Amino acid sequence: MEVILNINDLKFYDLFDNLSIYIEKNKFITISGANNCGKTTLIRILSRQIETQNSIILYSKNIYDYKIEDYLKEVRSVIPKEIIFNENTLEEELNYQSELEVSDKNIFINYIIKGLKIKRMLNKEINYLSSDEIVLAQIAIALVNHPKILLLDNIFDYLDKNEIENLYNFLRDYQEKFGLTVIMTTIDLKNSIESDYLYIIDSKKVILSGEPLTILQRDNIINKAGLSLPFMIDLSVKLRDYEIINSIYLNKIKMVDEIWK
Amino acid sequence: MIFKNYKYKDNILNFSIIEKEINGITGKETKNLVNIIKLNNSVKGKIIVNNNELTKEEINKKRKEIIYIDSEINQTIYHQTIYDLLYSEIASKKIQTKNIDKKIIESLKIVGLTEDILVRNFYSLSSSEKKLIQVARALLSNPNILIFDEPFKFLDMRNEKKLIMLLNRIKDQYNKTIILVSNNSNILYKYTNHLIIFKNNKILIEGNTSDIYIKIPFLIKNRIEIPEIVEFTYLANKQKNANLEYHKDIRDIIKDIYKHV
Repeated sequence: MEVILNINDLKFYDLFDNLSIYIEKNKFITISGANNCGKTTLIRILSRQIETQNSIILYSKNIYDYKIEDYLKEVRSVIPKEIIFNENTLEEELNYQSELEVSDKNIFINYIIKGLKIKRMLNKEINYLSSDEIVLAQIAIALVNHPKILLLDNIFDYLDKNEIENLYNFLRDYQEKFGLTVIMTTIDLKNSIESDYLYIIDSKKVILSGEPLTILQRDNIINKAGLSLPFMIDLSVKLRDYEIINSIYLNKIKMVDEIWK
Repeated sequence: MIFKNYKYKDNILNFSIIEKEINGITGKETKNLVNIIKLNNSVKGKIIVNNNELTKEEINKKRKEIIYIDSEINQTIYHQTIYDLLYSEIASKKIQTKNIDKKIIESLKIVGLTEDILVRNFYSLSSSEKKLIQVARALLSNPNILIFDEPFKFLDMRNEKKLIMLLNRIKDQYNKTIILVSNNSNILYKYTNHLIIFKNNKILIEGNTSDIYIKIPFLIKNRIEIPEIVEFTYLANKQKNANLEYHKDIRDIIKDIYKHV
């Protein structure tokens, strides 16, 4: 296990008090919590849009000791609806942002375009894309210079089921080929199931952390934090309490087979 | 409000919005149906209210009674104070009032906010406060029909419950008609009484929400998302003759399973 990013006892106004999060290299991390728990603020801190007094360690160095241009080579963020783009088309913007050599650049940009299924958007001005398309465009732009860490703030609310599934598949493929740590925030815990690790924030600190399917069984704590469980996990946990089933089922047919075997 | 023989593209649309109820709209390209309901463009059919067909003048009057509340507010007003935001709504719509400040405070009161919020800017609000301000702003013009696009999208469980309680209160106490436009079948199944599914520029089906969502083969055939609790019940009944009833609350289905296993 290699910790790439280490947030230790973070204090930030009345939002965080002793918040600690350790991010392992090449993992998918979900950070969840109710409205106003500080998810977006945390992404802003990690993308250095706002400063804290605490030290946050990237590799072995405080994030504030990196020159901002060097930091942005390592860490890129996508916060929907916060950028107004210039008049470039998506294709122009991807080429403009990329610092790779021309030959590598084309291959890499094409890989991203194909993976994110955004070919249809290339000739359109980014500002005129629909909100889901803008999020995918932002992800493409964020990845174009091979960052090591990608921060995704609440992007799932803008994407439909198929887009989310495709994004996961693409990011897993990208991770395998080039290495990538993904930190994403969401209010909908369904989106955490595919990730490697889940943190839940409430009352200014992390209240639960671990492998998602294990954490999501703590229904009382999660509900108390203002979050709802994904339907199948909620149903599994409650049926297990009634001793009707013994484990967690994500698949409805398998659960039906188990209950009425 | 009945839309009768409404010419839209190559189709004739017939559908109803049930007054003083929570109506749901789902499907594909629902924005087009919303535009028809808003009486935005030239009306190409009969609009019937209380058994009377509306005249042109009445349609013009009706149009002003309908308000659309987007899932997110336009970025350009992000840095306005809430007071300026609400004041400009009154000014731009030429809303008649003797005391603007009193009107603003009254609409805040309906949604459960106090005047302290007036000095803050929109950007600084939490997702739930933003949503409540959108509702307060909409109420300033005293509309009869409020159309919400994905109103629960950015809200956690607690704020989702608060918002639906508010919408029910607005409907019951102030006799408003609510329309929820959403692609989330779980939300529509839980919270709406009347449902319209719009697809391929046609009304695919309309009627009582619970009745429509249990027409599973029809929904599957037309690729309409099925609420998870309904899908589970359907599978149990179809594959295991489980004899479960269709419920809206997970606790009720658990009791039903317990009874039948």
